[in-house]
Amino acid sequence: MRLKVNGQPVEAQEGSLLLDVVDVPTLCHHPHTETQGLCRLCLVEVDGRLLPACATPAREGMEVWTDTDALRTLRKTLLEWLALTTDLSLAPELQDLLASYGADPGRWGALTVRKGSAPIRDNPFFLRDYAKCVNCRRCVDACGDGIMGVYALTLENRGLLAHPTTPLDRPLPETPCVFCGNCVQVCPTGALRPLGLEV
Amino acid sequence: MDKPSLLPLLDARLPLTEEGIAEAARLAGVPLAQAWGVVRYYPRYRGLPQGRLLVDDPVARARGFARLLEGADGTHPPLGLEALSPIHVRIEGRERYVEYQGHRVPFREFRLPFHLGHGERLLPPEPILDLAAYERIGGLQALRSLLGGRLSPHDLIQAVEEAGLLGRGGAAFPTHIKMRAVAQGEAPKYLVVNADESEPGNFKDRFLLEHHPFLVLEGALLAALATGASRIFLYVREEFEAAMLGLEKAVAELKEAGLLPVPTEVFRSGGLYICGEETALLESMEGKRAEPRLKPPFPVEKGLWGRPTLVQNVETLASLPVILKEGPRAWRQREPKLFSISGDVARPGLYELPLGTPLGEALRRAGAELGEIQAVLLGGAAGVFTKDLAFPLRYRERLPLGAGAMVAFGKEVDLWEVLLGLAQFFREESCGKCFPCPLGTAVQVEMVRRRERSKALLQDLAQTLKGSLCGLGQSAYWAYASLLEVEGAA
Amino acid sequence: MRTTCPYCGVGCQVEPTVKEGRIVQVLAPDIPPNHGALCVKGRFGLDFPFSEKRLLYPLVRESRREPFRRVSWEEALDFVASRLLAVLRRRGPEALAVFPSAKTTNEEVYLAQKLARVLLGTNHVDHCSRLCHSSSTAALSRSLGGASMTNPIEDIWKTDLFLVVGSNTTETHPVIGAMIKKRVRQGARLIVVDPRYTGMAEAATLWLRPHPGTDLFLFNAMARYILEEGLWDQGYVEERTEGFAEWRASVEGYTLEEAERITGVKRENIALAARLYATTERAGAYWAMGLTQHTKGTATVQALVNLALLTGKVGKEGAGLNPLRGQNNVQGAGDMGGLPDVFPGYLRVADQGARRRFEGLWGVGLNPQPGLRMTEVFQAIPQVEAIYLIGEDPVTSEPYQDHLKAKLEALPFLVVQDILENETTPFAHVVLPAASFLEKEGTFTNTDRRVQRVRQILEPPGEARPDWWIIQELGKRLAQALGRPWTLYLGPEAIWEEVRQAIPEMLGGITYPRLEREGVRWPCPEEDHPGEAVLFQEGFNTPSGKARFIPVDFTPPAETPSPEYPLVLSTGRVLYHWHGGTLSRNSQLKEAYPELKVEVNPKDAERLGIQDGEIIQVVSRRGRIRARAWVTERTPEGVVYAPFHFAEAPANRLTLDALDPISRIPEYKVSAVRVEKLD
Ligand code: SF4
Ligand code: SF4
Ligand code: SF4
Ligand code: SF4
Ligand code: FES
Repeated sequence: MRLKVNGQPVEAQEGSLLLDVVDVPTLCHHPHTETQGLCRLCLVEVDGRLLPACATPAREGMEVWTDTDALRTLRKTLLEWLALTTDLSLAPELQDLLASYGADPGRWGALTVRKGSAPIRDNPFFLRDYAKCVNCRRCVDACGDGIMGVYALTLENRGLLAHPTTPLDRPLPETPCVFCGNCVQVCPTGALRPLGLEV
Repeated sequence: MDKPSLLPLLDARLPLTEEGIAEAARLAGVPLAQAWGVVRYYPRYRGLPQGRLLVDDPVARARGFARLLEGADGTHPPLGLEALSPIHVRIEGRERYVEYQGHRVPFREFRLPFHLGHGERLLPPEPILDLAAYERIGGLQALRSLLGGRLSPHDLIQAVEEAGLLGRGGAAFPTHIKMRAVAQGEAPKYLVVNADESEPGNFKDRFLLEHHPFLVLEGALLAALATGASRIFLYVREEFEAAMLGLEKAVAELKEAGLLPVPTEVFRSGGLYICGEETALLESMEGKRAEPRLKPPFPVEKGLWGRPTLVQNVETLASLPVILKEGPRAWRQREPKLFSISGDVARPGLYELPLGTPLGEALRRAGAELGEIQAVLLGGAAGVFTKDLAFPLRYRERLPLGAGAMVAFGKEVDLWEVLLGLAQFFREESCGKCFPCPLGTAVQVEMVRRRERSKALLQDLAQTLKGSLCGLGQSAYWAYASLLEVEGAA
Repeated sequence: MRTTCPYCGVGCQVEPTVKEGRIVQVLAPDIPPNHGALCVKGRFGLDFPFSEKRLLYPLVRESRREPFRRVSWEEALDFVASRLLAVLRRRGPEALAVFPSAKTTNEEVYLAQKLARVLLGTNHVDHCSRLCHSSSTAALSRSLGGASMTNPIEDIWKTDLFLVVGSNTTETHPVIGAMIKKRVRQGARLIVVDPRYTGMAEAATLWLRPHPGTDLFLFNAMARYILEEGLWDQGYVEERTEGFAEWRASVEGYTLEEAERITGVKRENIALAARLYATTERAGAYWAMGLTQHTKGTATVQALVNLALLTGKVGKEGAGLNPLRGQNNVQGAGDMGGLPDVFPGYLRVADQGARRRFEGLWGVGLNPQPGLRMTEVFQAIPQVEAIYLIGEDPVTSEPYQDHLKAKLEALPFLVVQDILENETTPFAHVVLPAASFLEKEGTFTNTDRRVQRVRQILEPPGEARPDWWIIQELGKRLAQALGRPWTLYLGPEAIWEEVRQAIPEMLGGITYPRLEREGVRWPCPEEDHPGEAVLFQEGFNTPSGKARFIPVDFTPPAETPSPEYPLVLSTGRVLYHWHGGTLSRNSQLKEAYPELKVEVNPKDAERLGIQDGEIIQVVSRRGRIRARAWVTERTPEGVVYAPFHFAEAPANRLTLDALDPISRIPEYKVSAVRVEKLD
């Protein structure tokens, strides 16, 4: 299958995603969870439409643009907003992206919605620090449909206040959690991290 | 749909206890985690605000919002009461009332005053609340033709195509394409009537449901038969309690009369703006958080419980019997559309007007002094401010028509205050599934609050919100951008 | 750096991060078998090498009455060599036994069995699979000529029906359990046969709850029903199997009615399970200890094998017969000849051709007499005078603990080589501190026959040394004294090269460089061979190339409930712990499940007046333990369930040492007990 990326012809395997053929930043997508299309960092332009590369199958003859001014603006702004609202200190990859897009969060004024919450230490293995959470849902999916089928995590609230929680907001040991730590492994921001890393 | 849906199971257990939630989850066959995510999502499970609440719609924002708030314990999202705004509701426990003309009218008894309606093809001459009355005004003819074999499903869809009927919910997608796609899908298939009208400024569906339920049901049955849907769900905004009761009664009457060829039931909505988005709506019916799905796949391929599903707006379906009665060509000549007009006009209400009517003409019908109008909010929160009174009210024009709401603002109105209301509305209603929308709508509130006029910032805001997953985020900046244009034009 | 999880047979690949000599985080790479997923043990349980119970120096004593003395390696090894030689000279090879471990590397097992066979001349070589899967090994070898999962783990994604028997997969092989559950969410069916309401039963589309110890009856009844309904695969049976007619006659008496009476499972459900299994093309059977730890374990596995052959499920993608191996390297320990009757590659000790091959390779004449199995060796004390125990803790893991302790008391010489102090070390004369998996190189072979690398990430603490080094040094001393050949290897890779040379048809194509990227499955005869995924697609490893039906008959468990001991005790594992608990209970894991809980059905609890959380005593004819009661529907009425990880309340004090006549596996799943309130 042949398609064009930024004007250049590219070969793609049958059944591959646009993400397999383009180079764009990602955040919510993880190969072992089923979350996709949420963060919109991987958006590309196809026929004037914005499509998430992580959730769009490549098709013969597609003309894909990955780095238009509009897309750069979108990514830069999105990263700025994340930095504005969320503690990204343990997300080096996002920090690098911020730098490479020349982000300047300050231009939007102040907004500190998520940063306030205190880390939850309710089990002997890892902590949940939702001040650092971008709500990508990778953890929720890893625990549920994506990998484990355990369903010890779910989502609380809506909008910018939405973030993962446990059923009935119980401490993890009182949930079906089996402490596999797969949620910790897929968390891109350090919001979930092993206690071993805390000194 | 064999599994019982979670939301009704939770509703049956209000006020919720942990045991009740666990039991509902068990009966619905879903993990407790899912049930908890649902409970922490929908307002009625989280707990409704209590006391006397000001309905926070654009009209109220235009009438000195701060002063209005003084007499209230809080606010309530728009309720399709813009024609009566400013208005208060009262919530005591789970009982809800509209404060209307000095009375407390329970939601289950409150209908929009009939005199607000002005029209003849979609609107009845009087409230039509029983089957006999409906038949007296010529109702059910199309359904009887279809049942009697005088009209084939194919012809029906053909007629819809010839009429060129575009969806009336706001997206203006050609109805026949969706119908045909579902008709070609594999059974079981479903029809979902989207009666979750919550776009601020709109009250046309509410009015139809409350005063003309048989027309809506006939349209739904026609569409179901034409597409081969085996069940009809009326997904009704949960605050429209009177409408739900009326629909249930009408369904029972049809059934009694042997005129309900497709099993039909009322589903109480999740009670959020986002529930009107068709895929979020389906999610909530499936007992999940009402968060829009990625499209494709579209509901016509994979809708309710993964089956082909036709999701159609109330007014769209109500148009079907009218099209068949008048004939598609005649209908098309003067295509009727319902416009909800409120704000600074003498006779706010619901106006049936042919598409193409100039904006100024529509407002004049509602008694507006055109010279006194500063701007009009066209289409609702996901709409635009305009002062182009010559604008023809048609789909696919320069400005989005949305579902046909117009809120007029006089010269004295502080439009930024109105805009702040809209911005806050979006921030509150963002589901939080994708990233640009919850972040961008929160940033937007701060920008509007400080009356940010920087073109560059606004452009970046717009550019980023455009990348949102669903229409809510994608349109959240329209009003803001249009206000700056309107200001610039002044 | 990447290595292999040391807990279970899934063999997950792990990448521990080490900071200041500690493991602070464990990630999983996106390669087979686990593709990024782990369970709690691999994720948070790899810190046991830092336990306070770590053995750091060689310890020696002349007799059990003395305290241990810390000595140098020289002295310890000389001492062990001289004592072993003394026994050998005085009593001959049959008085010595070497038990390598399913926890150590392939290279180490190979070297240990080589030491036993070449230097001590004994075939008393065995490892703990005796305690878990030797029943599977026996049945599969007899019928198919091979004893491992016939299908790879990835086949889970191609399977449309899982028949999971006696495997609490989500707790014992959690990563495989999660995969099966995910496949079921994608629409596959899951039939679970288990007396306990396990995580798998919860996820099942059909759950059969037979009385403990009656699975064989169930399988035979399923087979009979399939025959009666004409649902069997006639073409397959004719072409690929033998012994059908005789076997067919043997299941005549196994009617659904009888099966319902004996197993307690409704006949409709037996019929439904049989029908689904027979008519689903891609139907795979998975099982574990629930099936094997019975006096008729081998026969029960055989009944399952017969059922799979009848319906043509072996040698096909997405199907097969899949015993889930317990220990991380239990597959490898067998492959390497850590068994009394076979050399590496399952070549029979009694077979002259096989002996020739190894005599040629090792340069000595070999003992043709198959040795005793581990449980038999313990029973043969004091005829057996010296045991060299590597990485095993029989006091915790063997049945009828008090009896075993008495035997060990009577053993004249015991060497315990391990990483942590355990329940058996107090019986030792010599304790040799071994390096943990984090501190050495080598390979493990996981449950689907994938050979994977173990890599050194840390230096061993104190004077601990890798097992291969210790065995090699001991071998050097024995060889010198005996004048026998003994190779000195530069390291594990050199040992592996010899293994490749020994059994090229199985492992010839697997080299260390090839294992750099990811593991390779055997059989893999050539370096460009990808490794066989599905076994027996062409033919079986039997003389005729056909699989063999073998008739098996139901017999009741060795010990049935009586008025005095009215309940059945089943033992097993829980998610958070591993085996005897020696590793896991010395890691972070102990915090998640700190004490023994015995599962009691609410009906039994009510009858006995027991509250949830109350301390109770479980009493058998052999002993008693104290534990907290967990009143739960997970266990059926009449059955109590106890994990065996807890040394202070060892469930195996209660169990019976009745053995399966073929595999000699003990009956862990059925002993008669009573529960008493503690007043
Ligand atoms: S550690 Fe617990 S919460 Fe995280 S994925 Fe595993 S089961 Fe779910
Ligand atoms: S905790 Fe981590 S994985 Fe989970 S939603 Fe937040 S950022 Fe994503
Ligand atoms: S745009 Fe807003 S409402 Fe739509 S999915 Fe994204 S967060 Fe939810
Ligand atoms: S499943 Fe087994 S191999 Fe994998 S991490 Fe868990 S214990 Fe280790
Ligand atoms: S990575 Fe594609 S939308 Fe997040």
